[in-house]
Amino acid sequence: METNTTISNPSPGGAPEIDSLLVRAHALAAFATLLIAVLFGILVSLQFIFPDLIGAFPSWGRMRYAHTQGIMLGWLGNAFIAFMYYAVPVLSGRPAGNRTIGLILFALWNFAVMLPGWLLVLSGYSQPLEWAEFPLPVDVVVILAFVLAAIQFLPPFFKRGFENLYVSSWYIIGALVFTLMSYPMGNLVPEFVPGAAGAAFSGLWIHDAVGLFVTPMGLAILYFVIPATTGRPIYSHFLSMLGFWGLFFIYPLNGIHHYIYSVIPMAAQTTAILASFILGLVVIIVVSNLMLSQRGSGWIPQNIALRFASMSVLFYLIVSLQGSLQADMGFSQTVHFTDFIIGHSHLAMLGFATFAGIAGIIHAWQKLPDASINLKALDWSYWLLTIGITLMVLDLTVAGFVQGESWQSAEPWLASVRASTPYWVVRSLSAIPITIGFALVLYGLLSSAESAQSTSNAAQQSSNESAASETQAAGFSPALRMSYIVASVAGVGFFVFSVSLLGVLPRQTLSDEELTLAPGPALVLTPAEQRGRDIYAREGCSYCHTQQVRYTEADMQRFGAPTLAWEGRQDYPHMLGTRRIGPDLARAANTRTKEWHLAHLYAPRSVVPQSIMPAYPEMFNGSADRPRREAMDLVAYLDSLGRERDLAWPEGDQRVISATDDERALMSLNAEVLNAHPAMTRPRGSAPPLAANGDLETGQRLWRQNCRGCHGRDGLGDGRAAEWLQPVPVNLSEHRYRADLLADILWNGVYGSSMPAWRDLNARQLASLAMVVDSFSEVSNTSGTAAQINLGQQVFQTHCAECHGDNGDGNGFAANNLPIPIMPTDFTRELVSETAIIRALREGVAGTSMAPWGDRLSDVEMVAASHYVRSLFQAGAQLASGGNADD
Amino acid sequence: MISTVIVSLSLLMAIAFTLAYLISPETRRRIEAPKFVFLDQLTKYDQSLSEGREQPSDARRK
Repeated sequence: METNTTISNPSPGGAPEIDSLLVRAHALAAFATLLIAVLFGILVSLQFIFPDLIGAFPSWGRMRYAHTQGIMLGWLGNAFIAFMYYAVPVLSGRPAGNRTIGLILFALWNFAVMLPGWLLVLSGYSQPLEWAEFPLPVDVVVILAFVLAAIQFLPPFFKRGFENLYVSSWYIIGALVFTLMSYPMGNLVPEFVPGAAGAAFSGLWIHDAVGLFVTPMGLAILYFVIPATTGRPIYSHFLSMLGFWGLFFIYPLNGIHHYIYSVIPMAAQTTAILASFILGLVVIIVVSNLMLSQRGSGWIPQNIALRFASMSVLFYLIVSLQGSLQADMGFSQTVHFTDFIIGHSHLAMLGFATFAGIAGIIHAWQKLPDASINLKALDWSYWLLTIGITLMVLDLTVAGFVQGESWQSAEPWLASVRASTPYWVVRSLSAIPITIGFALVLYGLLSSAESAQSTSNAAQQSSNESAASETQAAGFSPALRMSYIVASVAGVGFFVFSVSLLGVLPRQTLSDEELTLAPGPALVLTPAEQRGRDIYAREGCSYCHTQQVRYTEADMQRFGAPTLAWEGRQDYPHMLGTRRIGPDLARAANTRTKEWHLAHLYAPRSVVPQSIMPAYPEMFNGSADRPRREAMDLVAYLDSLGRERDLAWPEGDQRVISATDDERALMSLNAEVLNAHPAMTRPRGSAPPLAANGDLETGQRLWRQNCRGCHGRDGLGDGRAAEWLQPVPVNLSEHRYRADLLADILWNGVYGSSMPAWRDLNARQLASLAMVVDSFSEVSNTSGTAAQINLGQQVFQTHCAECHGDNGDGNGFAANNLPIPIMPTDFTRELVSETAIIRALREGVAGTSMAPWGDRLSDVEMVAASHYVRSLFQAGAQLASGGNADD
Repeated sequence: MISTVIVSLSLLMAIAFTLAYLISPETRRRIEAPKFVFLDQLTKYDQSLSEGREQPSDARRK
């Protein structure tokens, strides 16, 4: 069969022939999957600016899954395989496997991994784990494909022997061996190890995916392309090997730095932090060597493959130093979970690895028989990609600082979203040069402006004969052979060590902590909650919402007591998350009502006007008050988050503290609020008085940002979400509040209703908002006659006082035992219009315990009662009035 | 404790490798040899490619 002879017979010059079909096939597949993955990325990024843009497409989270897996497996996987089909025969002097296995590998990689993987995640079958999003059946195929890749590319090296094995060969061998070990660990183990212990394994994989697959392959290409295009050997093979072993020894120890300040044991965290800094030193060695190897080529090399390689080296330096810096605990407090990390990952995958991948493909492509390239197109692609990726990374880096600073301060969560919007616009715009750049690379390879050999062989012509003569003399000493064997065994040993140290041991420590501190048997999720969890996972909610309160002051202030190990004991797989666009949900239970959640899922901006959360109308029958089971299940799950902690101990319980002497556990147990979310709606009670320095303009801005969705533009209770909430939002024109009551409502929310607490606003903002609320009131002080008030008093004492209290202060003896726990109106501090009172008496108030009295009271009695309760109002400190919120 | 072990091990291995490289010219030559071998291999491949191009493609495949 011709196909097999193509790759098995050495060509006339004695070097094995390259299987150009497989090089071309994987290269083209790489660019096809790259463009598709980029399209997913663009759609995802646009949704940050236009949250309702993509109604007809699969949800944001699903496309995010498709984006990341497309880049890593589709683009980089294919690009690396294409390069190996060219590089392995050159490096080993032997053909790379055989055509049949090659075709099976190609088919598996693209039609049994990428295609079904994408279809499955877009259809809602996925795994909510970073860089492991394809579901388990696809993972099995990936592992099989890696086995085939190992069968294709490793034997040539083994047959050749390790004498004088060049560093690129080491990196290829390392990448294949270590990925085969780490991929199952990262993709399968978290399914069986819950909570933070599972997250430890996820952290290892997140880093190993980059450090043991992408980086080694990228460096293999760089170490190959640079000397191949300059015609000179690399600066130092010694430094390259120092870097190689340093990388494989240290990289696996980095993983936990994705969970700094989490509940994962601090010993594991500090090990990862230390390893991150050592890795930074190793990278400096690698990059110095690569840069010195390019000496004489200029800042912008002429050779297009070398130019991409050169930029890849620069990106590698920056991204690696970023990585080391991010592991610093102080720095992590600010940038963790922010766009800084997204910029970092884009610089790694689209900067360093992609530029290396392109360099490798261009170089390999040029070497294929009858190859031709369009240099002009490639030249343009280089500049467009360099500009686009630099712009994106710089933009996201600054955005990360802005978000981090916002989160560190006590300002409302949405402030960080608003501040991020301009950066998200720039990020989306940066996709234009990037996408055109990628398309131009493909065009440059497929169009034929000039012969590839005329550009690629120039360097080879200068291949130095002196080098060849040195080569002849260099044998392979037994000591060196032994050292490589020892290092190989130690490398694998170190990987096992890293998994033990950062995966297995933390699990043991976390299990011990669970045994010590868990308040009792785990609360099992109901079937509805479990279904809701599956939906949460399917839609990629954990890409924007973490479920871990970190051991930092900012997190504790905003989200409550840090998460303890036992809180995630049922999380298979964990949902800790590594990014926050929305707030943390570890304590989401009881922070919002079911109606609020449903309105938020159906039309997020109806209740949070500046939210950028995707809408999920497909979970409803056309309206937020007609949810399908999916919506109800998801809300049930959200309401279960933090419930176990909520029920663990009485708030303020000191006995639990004596159960442990662990410093960080005590940090959680000594938190100001032991169990609940600090912003949780509270029953009416103490609240700081309104500040005196409120201003109407600020209040109107806050109104538009926070209140308009429910209460409407003019406070008439007719916002978009009003029809879906029970009780309906108050028509503020019919109410006038005393300042202390308004302070109470704004600070504590209205317990049992959808009115949240606004404790993330500062005293001046609350005062400003109170001025706007007061400005809406059209309630007059006029009251009825003495006879009406007497009659009203009788009616009130007979029918109303048991809930509203004898004095009308809302503290009747039945007030605390109402079926719906919304406190009765306090008429001493709230003046309600006559119309509203009579309407409430006649019809009741849906969503509260206020029953209709129209069938028991006459019109005269209702009017009298209204006059009486209005007469109870005790005017206190007055608020300055303002105008319309949209003025 | 474990962090100390990691740092010590890493440094120890790096120092041993570096010392061997610096002290022994023979080791230095052997460690650097692969980069020249690689260039040879590249040249060989390019030559074979050029020779192959001079022949009809059918002949190359047989």
